Amino acid sequence: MTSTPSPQVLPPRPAGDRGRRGGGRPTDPGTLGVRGRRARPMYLAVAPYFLLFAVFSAIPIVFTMFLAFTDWRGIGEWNVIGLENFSYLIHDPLFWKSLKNTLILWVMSTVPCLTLATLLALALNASVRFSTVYRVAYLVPNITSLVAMGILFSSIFSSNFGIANAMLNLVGIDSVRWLQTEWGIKIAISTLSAWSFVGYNALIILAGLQSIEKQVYEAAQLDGAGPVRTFFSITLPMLRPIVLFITIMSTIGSLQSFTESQVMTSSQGGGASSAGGVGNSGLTMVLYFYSVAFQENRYGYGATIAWGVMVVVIVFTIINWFATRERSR
Amino acid sequence: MTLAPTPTRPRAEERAPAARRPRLRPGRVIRHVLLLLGALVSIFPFYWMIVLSSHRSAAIFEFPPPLLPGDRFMENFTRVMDSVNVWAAMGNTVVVASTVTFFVLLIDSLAAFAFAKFSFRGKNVLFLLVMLTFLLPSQLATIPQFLMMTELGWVGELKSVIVPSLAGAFGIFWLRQFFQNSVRTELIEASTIDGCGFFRQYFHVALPSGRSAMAFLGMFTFIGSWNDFMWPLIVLNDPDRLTLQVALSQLQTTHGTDYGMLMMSALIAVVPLILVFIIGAKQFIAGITDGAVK
Amino acid sequence: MTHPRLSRSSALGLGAAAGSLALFTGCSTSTSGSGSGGGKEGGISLWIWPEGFADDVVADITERFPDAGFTQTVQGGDFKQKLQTTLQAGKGLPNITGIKGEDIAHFSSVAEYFVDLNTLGAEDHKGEYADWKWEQATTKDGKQLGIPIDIGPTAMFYRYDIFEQNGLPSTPEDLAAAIREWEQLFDLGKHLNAADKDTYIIRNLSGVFDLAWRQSGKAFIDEEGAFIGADSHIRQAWDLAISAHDAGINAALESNTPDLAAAVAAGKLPADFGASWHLADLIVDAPDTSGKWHVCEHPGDAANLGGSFLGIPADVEDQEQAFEIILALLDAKNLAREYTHSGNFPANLEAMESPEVQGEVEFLGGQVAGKVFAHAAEYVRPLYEDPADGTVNAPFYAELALVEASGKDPAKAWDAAVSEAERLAEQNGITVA
Repeated sequence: MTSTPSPQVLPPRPAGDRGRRGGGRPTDPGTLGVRGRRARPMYLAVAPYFLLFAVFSAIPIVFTMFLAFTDWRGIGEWNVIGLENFSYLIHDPLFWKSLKNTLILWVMSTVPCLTLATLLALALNASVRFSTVYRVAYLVPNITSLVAMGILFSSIFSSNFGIANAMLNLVGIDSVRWLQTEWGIKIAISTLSAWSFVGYNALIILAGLQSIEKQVYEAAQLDGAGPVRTFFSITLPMLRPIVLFITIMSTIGSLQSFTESQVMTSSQGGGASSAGGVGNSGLTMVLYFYSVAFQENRYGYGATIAWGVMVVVIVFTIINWFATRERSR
Repeated sequence: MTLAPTPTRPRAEERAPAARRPRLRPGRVIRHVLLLLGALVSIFPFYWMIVLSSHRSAAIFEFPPPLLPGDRFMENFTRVMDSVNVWAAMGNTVVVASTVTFFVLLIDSLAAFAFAKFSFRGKNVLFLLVMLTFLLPSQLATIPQFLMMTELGWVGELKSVIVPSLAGAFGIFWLRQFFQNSVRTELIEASTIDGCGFFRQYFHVALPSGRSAMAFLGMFTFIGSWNDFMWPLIVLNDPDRLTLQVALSQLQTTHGTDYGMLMMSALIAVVPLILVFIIGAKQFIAGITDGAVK
Repeated sequence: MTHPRLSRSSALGLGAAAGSLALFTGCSTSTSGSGSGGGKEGGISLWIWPEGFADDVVADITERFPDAGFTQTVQGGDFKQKLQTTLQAGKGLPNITGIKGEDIAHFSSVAEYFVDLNTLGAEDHKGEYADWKWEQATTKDGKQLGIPIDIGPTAMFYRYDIFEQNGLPSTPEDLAAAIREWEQLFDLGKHLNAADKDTYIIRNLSGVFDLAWRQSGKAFIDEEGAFIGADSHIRQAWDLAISAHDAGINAALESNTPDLAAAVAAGKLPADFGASWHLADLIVDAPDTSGKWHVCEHPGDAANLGGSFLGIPADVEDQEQAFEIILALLDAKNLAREYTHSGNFPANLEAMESPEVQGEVEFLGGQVAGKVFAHAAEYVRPLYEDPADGTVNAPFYAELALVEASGKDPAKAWDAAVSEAERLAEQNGITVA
């Protein structure tokens, strides 16, 4: 029996290499193909997860997706109504607005978040002192409950009594009615989202930065490349797998955004049309689903909205994947 | 790649000091200011939470708002502890979060290892299904899951929170990516030829090399389970068997919001996590490194 | 072979121990009778939302029905969702359940999930309760879904000290007489606003709109399932709200936000409409202003905000006894206790006359608030609410919010609200003219 080699000893893998194929049969690169009796332990290993997944994840979701073809009201009978809900969805201005909101919030939170995360990562990469303290500090936003932070941020962005306005007033700017204006709501929500993940993303990027060989930087410097040029032409491309991971995760997360919006724009119940604050500004797709299904009891239509969410997420994930995959060798 | 970044840094500094020094003086200042600002911004809301929890609710409405902790800390603390059975709820949450973490690590690492290093019939279909549900928001499953819990008679019991949490997809993705990149196929092949079975490979190759990625997953899962709110709120109703977030949400009565107590309750909920986090911080950070890069 | 390293295995070991403990306790409790709301060993269980019935009320029931095994389970979170899904599942139901006023219309459309209380003799008790509230839980074919717990006839809470300072009528009688018409109230608001530009008399336009259309006695969908949301009664309510906007007396504050609480505490919103339970909100938001408030009639007739019911899910055990306990919970004595406990105004007529309800309220400067609300309760009009009403009326509130927050043109806002409401009505099977 060979002993376990420690990973440090093995040379780092270049981006394209995926290991040898096994035995000539079609397998995924980098894996060992097994069949028949030999595959039994794999099925056994995968079984516990799949059992739980099937019962508690797949079946409930399939059930909800099925409801999209009915007119169920959360209780009682349902009638199958075919694609009626779907045709409503296509003509539903509120759905398209929620899609627009979700995408705008995605950009508004992800761009600052990743930019700051990158800057922080670059700074941490070069710095030595207190780095662990910084790292712990940056992860604090991730361990606090998002609901509690939503309430906290609501008070920070309070129109008359919030810190945000207090600080603006300090520098002579008038108070903004944050949560009562359309753009204010979006800024408040995306600030919360960005804040939650800056540190987390910074550490992931930092990990990526630290895996880049120093010789690469030296070579660039010898060639006379400045820091900015080095960053865009060398660092960024070498961070590709990290960039891919982060963008896909943040895409999926942002497209499913719900808690921030719900907590910060919660109104007195009422219908979906008045959800998401003024002008439905904070109404994300999932919040729209929630309002329609849980508050208005329109389960069938809510499920249709869920289909819409799924399609959008799939489309964007594919776009993401192609955008970052295309250039790899 | 390396497990802990610390060893590499002195080497980096040694290698190219001369060429970098002249550029860095103003740069160094900027860097530190940036890092400091980043840390302050990250921590500030948390600090603000402490401030709010130590004031009367009405004091929060002054403008400019108070920036230093007040004197009502113990009072708000006692009021929260008296209104809600915090210890019981915390105990329940510890049980739930630990159980979930343990089983997630076990179940997900087994499945992820199988996915990462082996090809078997039906694998891709199964994996695609997992991916598909990952793309969907969890709220979709709520009502059918609740119906299921009612059928099973699990409503109100901690089981109803623990078991569905084991069906999450993140762990599978995370560990699969990690195993793919850190466990050499040649090693698997060689050990298979030597007669080593799957489970032996799992115990002696996958688990040891996956230590930090699993530590990260463990912490991440624990934290997520601790803060889980929506589902436990729906499915738990026995006052003796609530998790912390649910128990504390009872403070939000239908009449107005006592912000001092609310923030105090959020603080109570987060402090144990912070303790766990500080203890496990190094592993958590190292885990992010390993899981993402490799 | 070496086993996994110690630190990991000890962590795993701990988790395994915790896990087995959880499953073990899970298993053991399930054998001894699940905690899913069922009473201990077949007793009568009640599901209610926070904070539930007062301790002395619960104690009274256990005293009067010692063998019933009565338990109250307070369900946090989305009560309607839990109730509805449990009804759908048909298992783990309580013997008695609360039903919120805002949900009764929805549940009326699936009345088969509840016991028709008339079969248990409910009709005999109808006269003991406010009739328009009783009828809210009566289905079209005469089934009774629930007995009312409380009602929410509206009045106006106001800071009499601020009114007095500004030379405005400040006793409840004087003020009520001075604001019989909405325009008169708005004039007072202008006066206050002129004295202090941060003081407003209207919380937000939606509040005015809401009260006004309820006062008309008709909602957005009529009993035949036709859309009436563009009719004159809605239009009038809308115009009223817009005139409040034009008068510059609107604070434009959202309910349940720190901004609202702060404004109330600082005396910048010295008047607001509300039912009896609004008092509890004031106590939490502005504790320092205790004793400085009074309550009086607002312009027009009182409307009703809130107020819930107790019902019995279909097919549960011990229905007769559950019904007896409902009647006991909602008798005059207990509802009077509830009034002192939570400020909920009883639906029970006798309770309205009780000393508790007719007692002085310290926060309201010693005023006997019960008199005002009892008087208001006489004027509330019964209102038919279609299950889809909440969906169909939402666009109006959304557009009003846009008017007050972004200055949208009211005429355009009205058109947008109506067209969106009509689109939603059609989607939900409501006939649109």
